[in-house]
Amino acid sequence: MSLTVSHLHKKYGAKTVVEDLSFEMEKPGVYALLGTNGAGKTTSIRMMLGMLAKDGGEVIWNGTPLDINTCNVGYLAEERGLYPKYPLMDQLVYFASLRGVGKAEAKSRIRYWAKRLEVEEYLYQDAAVAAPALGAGRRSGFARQKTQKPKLADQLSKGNQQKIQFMTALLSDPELIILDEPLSGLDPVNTEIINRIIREEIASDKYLIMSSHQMATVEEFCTDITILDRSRTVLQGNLNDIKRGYGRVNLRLKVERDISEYIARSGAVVVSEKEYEYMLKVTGEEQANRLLGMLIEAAVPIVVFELREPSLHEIFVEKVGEVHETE
Amino acid sequence: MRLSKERFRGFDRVCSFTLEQLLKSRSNRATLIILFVIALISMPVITLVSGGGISLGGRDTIETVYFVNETSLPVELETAGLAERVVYSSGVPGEHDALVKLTEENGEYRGHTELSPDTGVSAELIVRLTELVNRSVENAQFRSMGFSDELLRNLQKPVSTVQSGESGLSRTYYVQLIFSILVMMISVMSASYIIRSVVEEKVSKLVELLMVSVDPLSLILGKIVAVILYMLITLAVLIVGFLLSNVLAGLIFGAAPGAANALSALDGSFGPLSVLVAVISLLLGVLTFALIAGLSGVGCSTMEDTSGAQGLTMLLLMGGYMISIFMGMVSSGAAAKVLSLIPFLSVYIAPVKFATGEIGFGIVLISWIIQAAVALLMLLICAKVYSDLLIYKGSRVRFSAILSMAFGRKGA
Repeated sequence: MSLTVSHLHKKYGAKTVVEDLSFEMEKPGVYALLGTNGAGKTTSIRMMLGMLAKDGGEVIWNGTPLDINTCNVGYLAEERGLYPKYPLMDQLVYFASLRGVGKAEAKSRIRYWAKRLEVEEYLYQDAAVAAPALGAGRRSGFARQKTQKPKLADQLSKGNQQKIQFMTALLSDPELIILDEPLSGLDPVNTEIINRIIREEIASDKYLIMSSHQMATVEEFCTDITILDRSRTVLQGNLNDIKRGYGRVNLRLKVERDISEYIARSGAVVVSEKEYEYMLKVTGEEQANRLLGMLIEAAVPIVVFELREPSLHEIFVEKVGEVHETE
Repeated sequence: MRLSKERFRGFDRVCSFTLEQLLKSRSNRATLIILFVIALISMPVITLVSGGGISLGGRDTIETVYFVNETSLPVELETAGLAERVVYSSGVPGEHDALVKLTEENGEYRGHTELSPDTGVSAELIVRLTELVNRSVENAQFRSMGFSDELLRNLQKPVSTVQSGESGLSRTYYVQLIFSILVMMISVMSASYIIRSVVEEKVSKLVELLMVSVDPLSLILGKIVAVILYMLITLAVLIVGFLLSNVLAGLIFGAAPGAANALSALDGSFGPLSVLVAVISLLLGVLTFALIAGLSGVGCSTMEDTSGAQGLTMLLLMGGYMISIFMGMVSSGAAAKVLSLIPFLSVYIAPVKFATGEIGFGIVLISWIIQAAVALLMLLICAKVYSDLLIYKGSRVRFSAILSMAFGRKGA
C-alpha cells in the first residue's frame, strides 16, 4: 500500500490557500503535516478526503485516486464535536454504521475502546463508579459503588468528549488514519492514553497522517514531515535526515562556575543561562570540542556536556522565521 | 450538478438514525401523546359543546302528547317516528311528555309546543315536534279545501336539489381551510426542524466527521425523509386519535350529531383517490419546502442565524397559505387550474380543487410533475453547493447567494 499526494492546489478567489503540495508514504508509519495557523494543513486534509474540491493535483491510494467509499479512513477532524443531546452510545453506533460497521460489531468495538480510553462510565449504565461514601472522613478507606445513567455529550468534560471523538476515528479499524491536532486540549494523563494507542496503531502497520502543533509528539511518532507556511511547503523530508543536515549544533553544558570567558573565546552563542547551566548554539562538533578542551585545560568541573541535533521545534521556528524574514 | 448513485451513500443510515432520535426525544414523545389525547377527546368535547350531548340520559322518543285544539280546524296531529301516542285533550296534561296547543285568533292559527320538564325527554325533540305540528295544521287546511290524501302525498313528495351557490362555496372554503392549515402545519414543523438540525450539526462541529463517511446530499436527504416519516407518524397518531374519539363519542352519547356536523365539510369530498392525491401532493410539497429550508440552514454558522434562514421558507409557506384561503372563497375554474400548477401553491390548492371536482386528474398530474421538477432542481442545487456550505463559516449566506453559487455566477 502507498499514499501519494501530488501537486495539490487550492485557491479561494485570488488567494492561494494550498500551493503545490506533494508528498509520499511508501510504507506504513506516521507522516506529519506541520505549519503555522492558516498555513493550509486542514485545507490539504479536506482536499485529500474529498470534502473540498481541488483546484489541481491528485491523491493516490494504492494506485487509484483516494475514494473514501472504498478506502477505510479514520478521521479525527480539527473541528470536532458530538451531538450534544443524543445518547453517546447511539452516536457511536451511528458513526460506526456510516463506516460500514454492523451494530453488533460496533457495540463490541465500542466496549473495547471505551475500556482503553477509560470512558466506560459515560457509556454504560452498568459501569460501576467509585464514589466517596457519606462520612468518608470517619470511615476512610470505604467507598460505595454506584451506577449512573449513560451521559449525553454536553455533560462530559472537553477531554472526555475528545476521547470519545478519538474513538469514532478508530471504530472502523481504518487502514489510513488522519489525525488533525489529536492532542490539543488534553491533560498529560489523557495525552499519554492517546499516545499509547497511537503507538499501537503504528506498530500494527497503519498509515497515519498527523497534523499537530505539539512538536514533541510529532518528533516521537513521525518519520517524515512537511512544514507548510502560508500555503507553501517550506521544508520536507525524512525527519532524521533533516536533523542530520542541521548537524549537532545544540550544546547543553552544566558546570560549577562561571565560564562566560571561555564561551566567548570559543565563538559559541549563549541561548540561555541559569545557575551555570548553559544552552549554547555552536557551529558544529569542532567548535564544541574546542570549548570542551578549554574547560578541561582550565580544570573547570563539568557536570553535563551534551551535544545534539536541533529539535523539531527549533527547526520549525527557524524555518518559518526564515521565510518570514525573507519576505 | 450530477446525481450519481454514490451521492446517496449512507442515506438510509442517516434517515434511520434521525427518525430514531426524533422518536426517542422526550419532547417529541410528549408532543405525540398530547396530540393523541387532544384528538381522542375532541369528538366528545365537540359533541358536548355543539349540543349533541344534551340527549345524554334523555329519551329520544315521546311517549304521549297532550293535544289541545281550540281552533275550528279538525287537525289530526301526525307524530310518526316521534311520539308513540297522542291524547286529544281528554287526559290530564301533567301526566304526558309533551303539550301541543292550537288556538285561532283573527283568522290566524297559533301553535304552542312544550315538553314536560320531569319526563326525561331529550330537549331537542321540541324542534321536530313543532315541525310536525306545523305540517299537521297545513294538511288540515288543505283537507278543508277538498284535497284528497293522495293529492297531499303527491304534493309532499321529497325534492332533492344540489345547491351550488353560496353554500357550496362555503363548504369548499372549509375544506380548503382545513387542508391548508394541515399543509402549513406539517411544512412549518419540518422546515424548522431541518434548519435547526443542519445548523446544530455545523455548530456542534460534526460536519467533517460525517462528511468523511456520508455524502452531504445523503446527509440532508436522510434528514428530510426522516422528518417526513415522523410527520406521517404524527398524522397517523392524529387520525387514529380522531377515529377512536368518534367511537368514544358514540359510546358516551349514542349518536354524535355534533361531531358528525363538524366533519360534514369533509364528507363525500375525500374519496380514496382524493386522499391519495392529497398525500402525494403533500409529500412533494413538504420535500420542496424542506430542501429550501436545508439550503437556507446550511448557509448559517450560528444558531442565532436560524431565524433569518427561516425567512424564505416561511414567506413561501405563508404566501401559499394566504392565496389558497383566498382561492377557497373565490370559485373560478380557470384560476383554479392555473394556481394548481404554480409551484409552492399547488400543494395547497390542487388536492382540494381535485376533491371538489374543479380540476381533473390530468391537471393534478401536471402539478405533480412541476412540483417534482422544482424538488429535483433544489436537490441538484444541494448536490452542487451543500458540501462547500457545510464547511463554510462566517456570516449567513443568503438564498440568492446560494443560487449564484449553484449556477456559477461571478461574484458568488
